Amino acid sequence: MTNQASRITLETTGARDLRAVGVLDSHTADEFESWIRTFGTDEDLVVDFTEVSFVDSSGLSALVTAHKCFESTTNKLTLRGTSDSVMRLFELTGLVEHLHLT
Amino acid sequence: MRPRPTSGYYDMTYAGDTATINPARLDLAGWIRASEFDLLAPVDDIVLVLSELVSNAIEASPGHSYRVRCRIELDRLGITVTNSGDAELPAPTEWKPFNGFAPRGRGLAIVAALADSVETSASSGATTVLAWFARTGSE
Repeated sequence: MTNQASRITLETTGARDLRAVGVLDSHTADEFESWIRTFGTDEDLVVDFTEVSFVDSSGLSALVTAHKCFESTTNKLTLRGTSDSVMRLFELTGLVEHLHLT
Repeated sequence: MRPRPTSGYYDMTYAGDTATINPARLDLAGWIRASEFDLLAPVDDIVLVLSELVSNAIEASPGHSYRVRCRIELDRLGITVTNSGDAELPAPTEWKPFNGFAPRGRGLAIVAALADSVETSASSGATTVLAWFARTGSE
């Protein structure tokens, strides 16, 4: 199992609700950001992060870029249910002040 | 070849591709947990530091392999990442702090924040970053 590349998947759980599962690092960040873009910024979007087990700075870059895309409209990208370790990273980097988290 | 947890020695080389970052993280986490080091920092923090150093190495020298080693001392554990490209890395004193809501540029700041100390060195086309983590009883 340990020789597998990291993966992230996005499952649709509602009209504007997604659930992310996996790892957000430099191998998956671009793919994640592209997927978020395909849902458009015309309305608010909520991504459940409960099952995202790991995020690093590449993942943070994807999240910040996606948040900024929404902020350029009047809509919001919200992350729901981030794990303790991911929340610690948001706090460490100061992004807890900028991201929309519930 | 998989690392041998009881050997007290860790030396792994991976292809310079982002597909190897997850295996590198899992290998090191498994080895540290099996070795039962009495570290002050959570294993998750050490793995995050590794992820940053490896991502940096691959981005600086795409296609070049990188090497992950551990240095074990009485009072601390050192994680080294060496890439075989020519890219230079600034000294830790020149690393930039966290940058608010900027899109990029947090990797080295995360390393600096989580490791107890960091050293960099370069020689004959290889760049090495060494991040130290204290063991309990050493504080």
